[in-house]
Order: sequence, then structure tokens, then C-alpha cells
Amino acid sequence: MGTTSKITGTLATAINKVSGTAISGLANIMGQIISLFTDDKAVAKSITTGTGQAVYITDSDGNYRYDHDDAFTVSFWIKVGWDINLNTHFHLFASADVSANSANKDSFRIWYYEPHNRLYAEWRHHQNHKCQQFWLFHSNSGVYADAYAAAGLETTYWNSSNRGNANSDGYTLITFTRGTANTAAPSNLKLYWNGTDCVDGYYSSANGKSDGNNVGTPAMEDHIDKQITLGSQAWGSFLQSGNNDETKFNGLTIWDRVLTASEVTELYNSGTPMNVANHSAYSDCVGWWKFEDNGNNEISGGPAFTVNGNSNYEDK
Amino acid sequence: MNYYIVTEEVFDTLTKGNISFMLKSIDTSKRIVITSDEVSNNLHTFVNTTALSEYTITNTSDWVGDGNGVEEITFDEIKYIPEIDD
Repeated sequence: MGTTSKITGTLATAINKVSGTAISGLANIMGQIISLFTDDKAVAKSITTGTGQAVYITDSDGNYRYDHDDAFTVSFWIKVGWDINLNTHFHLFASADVSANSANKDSFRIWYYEPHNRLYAEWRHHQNHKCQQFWLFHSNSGVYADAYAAAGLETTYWNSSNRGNANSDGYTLITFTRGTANTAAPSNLKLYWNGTDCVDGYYSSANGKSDGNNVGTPAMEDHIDKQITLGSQAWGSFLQSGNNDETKFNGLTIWDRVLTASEVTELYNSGTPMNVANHSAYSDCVGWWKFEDNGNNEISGGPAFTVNGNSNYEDK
Repeated sequence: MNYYIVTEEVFDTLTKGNISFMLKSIDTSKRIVITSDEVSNNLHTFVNTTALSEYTITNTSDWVGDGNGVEEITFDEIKYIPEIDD
């Protein structure tokens, strides 16, 4: 690396504003490749609950109207802040109709249930019309062995004292991919811990169960804009935000198709949050939030996150 | 279904296959249990999940670490699975 770290003040500001073809020239100075991508900050979700403490998007132009038969991928880095006394659930990522008052308003959610060490994914439009799956991480046998190895939590549950397989900053890349089928079967819904496929969840034929906990037939409407949250529910008063320390999120991406295993590995980038613009599937990335002191969407025209109350941007 | 709070010792005597929900208290001395069996030697009994949820909100420090109580939906969503949850 050259001496770019010594560039400060107004010159640094000017360089940050350079775009287009000029950026290629700047990135190769005197034969040295210089990365202008920075990843110093994350968004810390306050453990205080309520809309006024939320980290969320209220979309208004139809960017993320995923319904029950749209393929997509959601991926984010998370540094867990809750401890062994959480004893309830924590929503990592959730989306629902704007102004939703319950999970039955076309929700998709990824949440962790600390008392049983389970990571859930679900979509629904009614309590009797939902698709759900979960993985657990404390059993090194049967279908659970893949998730056990991927997470590295051993037999202790996931918390701030036991982050399992995480990078040097304490972050884990959680990635869910969902295909076009309206089922939470392992063939359609996958969880990756860092770049590793957790393979079969609890509701799988490999585990002697039905493939996916599918109740009724979710029929989510795709004409209503969505609100998206990190670290809380996406409906009502945005409850449940953990305990102990704030949980931090970084590098959230949404893709409008199922990323392959190799593409998830590429995104994991050996544990270093990457410049997603350099990802081989970047043309299918429809939302990218770096949380470098703001909630801006790196995808042109995409909505930004609003960060409220005691939630804020902090050093990662 | 029947809705109880029981001690750890009583929980150990229950038929696990008849239990649909179980939550340990934070100090692990007690269990919230929803079961098809009737349990006479309980600490508390509730008429439904609404009453049970309200109890955990009132006594949140015993049951939930974030101060919000157990949402009613949780009793239906999180199925107790003896082989992986004990």
C-alpha cells in the first residue's frame, strides 16, 4: 500500500467525490493498486425497543416487494451483543408491509430464539399461512452436524461471550437464500454461516420430518411497499432488541436471486467485508448498505436506512 | 391444553412428549410449561396464553432478559422438542 493513509482534510474529501472513469486512474497510482473502499463503521441497534429506537427503512417506491414466490438473498454481518440471560427472541432482519401491526402483514423474518439456540427464517401473511424453518447449533449429530460445524459455537448457545466462527472483529456473515417455491424445504431455503452451508434444517426429510414447516399457503401481496428492520421486529412498535450490549450490523446486501454457494463464499471473502461492487454477481445486488456513518444505499435510487434514538453508527 | 409454571424438579417428572412449549426461568429454577397433561403440584396455573403472557410481562425479570415479557405468539411458534431442548 502507498501513502493514501496520509491524505487528509479537504484533499481526502475531494478524492472521495471522484467517480466514474477517473476512479480507475486514482486506484492505480505508480503501479500500486489502491483500494478506496473503507469499512470502519457499523450500525449498532440500541437494546431499547420501540419505533423511536429502530434501524429501519420505510420504502415508498417498490424496491423490495418480495412475495412468496420471488427469489432473493439477504446477507449481513452481525456482531452479537446479547448475553446468556436474553431468554427470548431477537430479530436479526425483518420486513413487512409499511405500517404493519403484526407479523401477519406479509412478513419475512430471520430471528434467533436464544432459549433453544435456534435460528429461524419464515414468511407469512396469516398465522395459518406460513413457511418456516430453523437450524440449531449445539448438537453435533445427524442433520444438525453441518450447522454445528459451520457455527463453531460448540454446545454453548450463541451470545456475546460465544460468537463461534467469527472474524477478527467478532462479526459473522449470515446469509439466507430463498428460491421461487413457496416452501421452507431445504431445497428452497438455505442458511450460510460465513461461507458455509448449514444444509438441512430441523424440518427436513433427512431429519425424518416434512420438508419445511409449511402451514397453509402463504399468499403475500406484492403491491404494498415494505418496511425493513435490523435488530427488531418490522411491525407494531418494533419490539425485542436484545439485552446486555448492542448488537451491531454491517454490510447488509439484498440480491434479487438465489446466490450460489460459491457466490456466498465470494461474499464472505475469507472474513473481510468486501467491496460488493467487485462481486461477480453485483448486477443482481438490489440493495447494499455499508453503514459508514450513514444509512445510504450504495445501489443508485435505493432507499436509505433511518437510524433513531440510541441506535447509532459506531466503530465496528 | 394446560398452562403452568412448575419447578425444575416437577418438570423432570412430566411426560415430555405431551409438552408443546417449555421455557426455563433465567435462574433455571422454574419452567413455563404448556402440556396436555394436568399437573397438580404446580406453582401457578393460567387459563390461556394471554394470561400467561401477561404474567411474564409483570414478572419479566424472572423470565426475559430484555424487559418485554414473552409475547403470546411465542407460545404457539416455538415448539418444545425434547431430544434437542433438554
